[in-house]
Amino acid sequence: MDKTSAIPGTPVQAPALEVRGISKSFREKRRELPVLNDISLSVTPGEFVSIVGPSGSGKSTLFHLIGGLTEPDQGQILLQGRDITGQKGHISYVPQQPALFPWRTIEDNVILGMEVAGVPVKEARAEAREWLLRAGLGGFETVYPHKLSGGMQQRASFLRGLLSRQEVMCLDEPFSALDALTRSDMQHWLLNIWEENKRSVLFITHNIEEALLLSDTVYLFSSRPATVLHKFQIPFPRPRREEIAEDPAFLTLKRELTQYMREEQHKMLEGSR
Amino acid sequence: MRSWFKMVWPPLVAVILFILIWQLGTSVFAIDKWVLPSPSDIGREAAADPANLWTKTLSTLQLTLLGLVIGLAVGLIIAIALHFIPVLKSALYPLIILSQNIPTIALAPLLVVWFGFDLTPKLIIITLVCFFPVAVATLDGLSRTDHVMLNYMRMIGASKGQIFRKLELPYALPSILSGVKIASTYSVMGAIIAEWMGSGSGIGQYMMMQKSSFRTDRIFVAIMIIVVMSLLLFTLIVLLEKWLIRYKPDQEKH
Ligand SMILES: Nc1ncnc2c1ncn2[C@@H]1O[C@H](COP(=O)(O)OP(=O)(O)OP(=O)(O)O)[C@@H](O)[C@H]1O
Ligand SMILES: [Mg+2]
Repeated sequence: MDKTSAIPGTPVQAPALEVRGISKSFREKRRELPVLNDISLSVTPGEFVSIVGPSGSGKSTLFHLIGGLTEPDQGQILLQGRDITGQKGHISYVPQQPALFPWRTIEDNVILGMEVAGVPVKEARAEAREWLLRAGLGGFETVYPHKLSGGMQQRASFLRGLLSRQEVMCLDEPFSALDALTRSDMQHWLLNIWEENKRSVLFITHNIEEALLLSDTVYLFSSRPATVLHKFQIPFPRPRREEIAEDPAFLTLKRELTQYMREEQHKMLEGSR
Repeated sequence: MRSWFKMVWPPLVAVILFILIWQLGTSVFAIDKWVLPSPSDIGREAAADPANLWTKTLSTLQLTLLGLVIGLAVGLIIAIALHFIPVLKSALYPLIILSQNIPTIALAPLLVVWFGFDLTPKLIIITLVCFFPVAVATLDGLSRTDHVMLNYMRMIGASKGQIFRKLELPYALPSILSGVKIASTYSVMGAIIAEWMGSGSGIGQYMMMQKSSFRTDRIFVAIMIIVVMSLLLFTLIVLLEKWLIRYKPDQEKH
């Protein structure tokens, strides 16, 4: 793992990722469809940042902009202070569906990010094997993805992102397709893995509890066109345990966020009427 | 294995029944041999000069395979070129589709005028009938690439070549192979027609000769050989498909 965490003595740390005043609209049937409106956020090195927002508010669109798939109408994307707006290949990405390649074994899927970046296959394989063991996927190295359960596929997809050489990981609702129990397992699994490695993470979710459990910072998005409604610092110490979800402070924060979300949802419903 | 047997025996029984009825029919109604020979007549004729038939079969098989390989290559190259150059695709793809409304056989005399009676016009005919299903299946498969996977590859900075080799091509492979299957049966047909119009030393030419002397039994022998050749080629490609797409054991079921 190449860590770009702060070198001791560096005075001011540039954020690992900074989104500065991003706006984006799509043209649909000659009508302008504003999706993102002046979004700014930042992820410091080793920070876990979540974005919570209503469905269709433009969260995935923001990821596509950060990943360079489309260009913003306004604003910049900065990586360690460098402008990377519209450039591809600077972030590692874990999509909503596992999107493993069915013709590749689990091991070969996990090394894909490294392979594309030009890491020698031998080296990549050795690293992948070690991580597959740690992720509870030992023994599945040479199995094809369709033999794995949804949770296991998602873990492989996450490893593929984790082992990629880019410093910032973008996760787009990686657990939304899983059942509640698997989802909760995966959250704790991710929490453990991340606390051991401290990559800079930008994480999209619908689930407020998930965001609170995992994150250092949560950005709350409004409905479309998305703006940043609120930025919450999550004060709970690390390493975090499952029991934190029963902590009164956790519950208060959860209620507060839920209230905000509900108001947003209402606004959206009224808007569509 | 058992289920395989269950699948095979009903059509097998049907074929045997069909041959029996044919045999009985020809003797009961005393049909002339030059109109419709009985299966046993055909069998006897096939066994009469196997060496000669074998040489002719080999000759046709050679022509078929050569034509098929060229047709596949042309189809793939066209598809890949159109895939990488969208302008070319929007300009040429409709024309390629349109070209399939021209019965290729109609071009045969022209090809003979241009290229004579040797190998070239025959290969052109086979290529013309083979490239199309492969090109269309390949283009179709390439353009269907899963969007999430494609976005993933683009976001992590994969080059066009990497995306093609690591994602688009393997993704399109099942589609390409179904095109190859169609092309393989077309190639046998193309080879026979090519031999009919020109000279040659294969089964098609053998058929033409027997036709002029009303040796219906021998024409039937030739038909059998062509059918078997088609089936073998098809089976070969199905096996190739099974081997190449072994990551998905039961494709139909999911
Ligand atoms: N390429 C595009 N062209 C036109 N409209 C688009 C395009 N991509 C997204 N949109 C629209 O932008 C809006 C936001 O989409 P986006 O996928 O970013 O939402 P989201 O917040 O990720 O939603 P969800 O939580 O359901 O995943 C949607 O209304 C969608 O229809
Ligand atoms: Mg989304």
